[in-house]
Amino acid sequence: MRMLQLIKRICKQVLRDKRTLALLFLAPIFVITLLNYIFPDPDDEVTIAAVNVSDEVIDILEDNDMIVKQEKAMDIKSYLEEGNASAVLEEKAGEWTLTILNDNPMDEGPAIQGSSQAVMETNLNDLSDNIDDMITNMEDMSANVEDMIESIHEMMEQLPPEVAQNMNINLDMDMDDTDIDTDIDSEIDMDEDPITVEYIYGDESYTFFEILNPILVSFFVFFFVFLIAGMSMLKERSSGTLEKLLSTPIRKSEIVFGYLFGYGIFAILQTAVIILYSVYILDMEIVGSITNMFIINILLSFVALGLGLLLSTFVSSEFQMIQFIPLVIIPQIFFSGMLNVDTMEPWLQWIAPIMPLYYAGNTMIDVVLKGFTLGEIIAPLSILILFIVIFVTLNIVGMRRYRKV
Amino acid sequence: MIQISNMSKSFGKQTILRDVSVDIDTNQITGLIGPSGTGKTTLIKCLMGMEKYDTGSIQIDDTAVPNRKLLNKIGYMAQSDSLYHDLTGLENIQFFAHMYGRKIPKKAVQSTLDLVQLEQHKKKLVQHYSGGMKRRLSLAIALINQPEYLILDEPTVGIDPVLKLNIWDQLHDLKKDSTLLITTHIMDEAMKCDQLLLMKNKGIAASGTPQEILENFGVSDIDQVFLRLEEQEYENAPVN
Repeated sequence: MRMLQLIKRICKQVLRDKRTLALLFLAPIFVITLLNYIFPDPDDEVTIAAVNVSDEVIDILEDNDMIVKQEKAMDIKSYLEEGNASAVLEEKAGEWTLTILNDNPMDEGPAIQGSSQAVMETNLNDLSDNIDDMITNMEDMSANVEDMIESIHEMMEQLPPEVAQNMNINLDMDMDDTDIDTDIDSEIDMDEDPITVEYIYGDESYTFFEILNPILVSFFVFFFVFLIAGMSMLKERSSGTLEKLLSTPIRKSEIVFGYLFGYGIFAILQTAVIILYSVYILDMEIVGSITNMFIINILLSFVALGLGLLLSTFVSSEFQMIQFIPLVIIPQIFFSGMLNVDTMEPWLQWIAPIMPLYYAGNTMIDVVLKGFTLGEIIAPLSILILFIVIFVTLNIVGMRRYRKV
Repeated sequence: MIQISNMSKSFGKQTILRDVSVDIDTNQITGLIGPSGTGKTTLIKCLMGMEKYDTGSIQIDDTAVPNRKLLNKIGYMAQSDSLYHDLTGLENIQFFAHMYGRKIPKKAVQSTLDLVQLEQHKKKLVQHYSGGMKRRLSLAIALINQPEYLILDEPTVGIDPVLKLNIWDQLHDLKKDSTLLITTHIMDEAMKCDQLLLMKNKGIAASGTPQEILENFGVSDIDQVFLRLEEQEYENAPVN
């Protein structure tokens, strides 16, 4: 009853606060949309400037979807600084040089890869040409040897027989043996990929965003809910209304649960908006079920609520609440599945399991990209529930600071 | 009846209240007066169960404090305006009314609003209220559960003189059903109380009706009582 009234009041307050509503619903949509377009499409072409480069290399670069600008010798630094190309490829007396600014790995990575591939292919072509030449030479040579043998035969026939026998030369060589096998496959096929990539999850069309997006969905749910819950509890405390509230016979647990469910409603709505927007407007591909995505993020939002409420009791101003962002929120991004925890320093691997986003982010990837079922993600979900229980308990106990019963 | 006996409270090494014993009688206005920093608010917070006292006991109607159910009987108005600025005046009243868990009749809400003269402003958001209006709304909220005990921490700060007189008349009317404990450091208000508790030096330095206290100290107003108390303290201080 009291809890319901508390929930009703929170809803009223949030609905009247247009800025908070915008922060909850428009901000994540705005950022996710930005990210969707900000990461370069893998199909996008990278521009390379070629100085003194043979047409052969240029052809290969162009075959590999790169835009090649042919340039004369120039000041490479200013040329790159002006943004004319991502890289400059130069050849001087057989030495290849690729110059990059080294400030944009997104474009420069493909430029380095493409250029070295092209140069390597050209070198391979040269090599196979050389082999061809060699084979031709050897064929010529073997023809010469045959000619030579024949002329020796002719010569010997002209010699007196006893001389020929004394020379004891066995010329009964089988001419077939000396025939050099010229069936060497000198055609190295450059059109086919040297290696076939098999994708266990998804396919080659996956962009960085597609891997990042499930994590981001969880991150936004966590971040905004944490912030709003923390701020509103702080406001309740600093305006004295918490004290006033505790002067009524309301139970401390009723306040905590009222807050949890009051803001929980908006957290669930926010989660729904972010997920539906990602899936239906931004065409995020999901292999697993959308229901599981909801379950993960709704649990996560309750963790964020509990944590936000808890941390707000340690601060005395909005600014101090903001100070928790670099301490509590940002480090969790690194453990949320973007980077592989298994390859981190051992002590970092110990930190990961205390971070709620570690479970949510990695489980989102499992569901969205790998299609894990509810049964397969039950362990991380249980841990999220455990976080909720711990934070709720700590909050109720923490309320003792304001009232002893 | 509020009975405080041998109650002490300290924060860390700093003692705020030392060995306070006092009975507060029902159906009268008891004024808790004294300079700032003498523990008035701490005493009230201990009464409400918001702070834990270290030793001694506090009983309200023979129930030991702290007790959550006891809060049903108490109306509390804090020193600061504890209001939701993004709700209207009426919504604030209704919300806190619901916190007492029982149905508060519309008529009670209405008469409380009339009492503090906020009827025509009840649909306004509190953030548009003046300081005095906020104070009146806080008072209305403290009255909403028709409490047996009304604990008001500086209730008339920022309220204009006419309304202040009006409110004091109302407070005296409330005595019929309630026991009032009011802190103030406005001395002319102290004279309007039935009983006074003078706080000084971490405890209650004097108590009685305003007239009794003035006679005991042989002075003509309450401010001078505190000056006397100051002098006594100086005389009694050990000479180093």
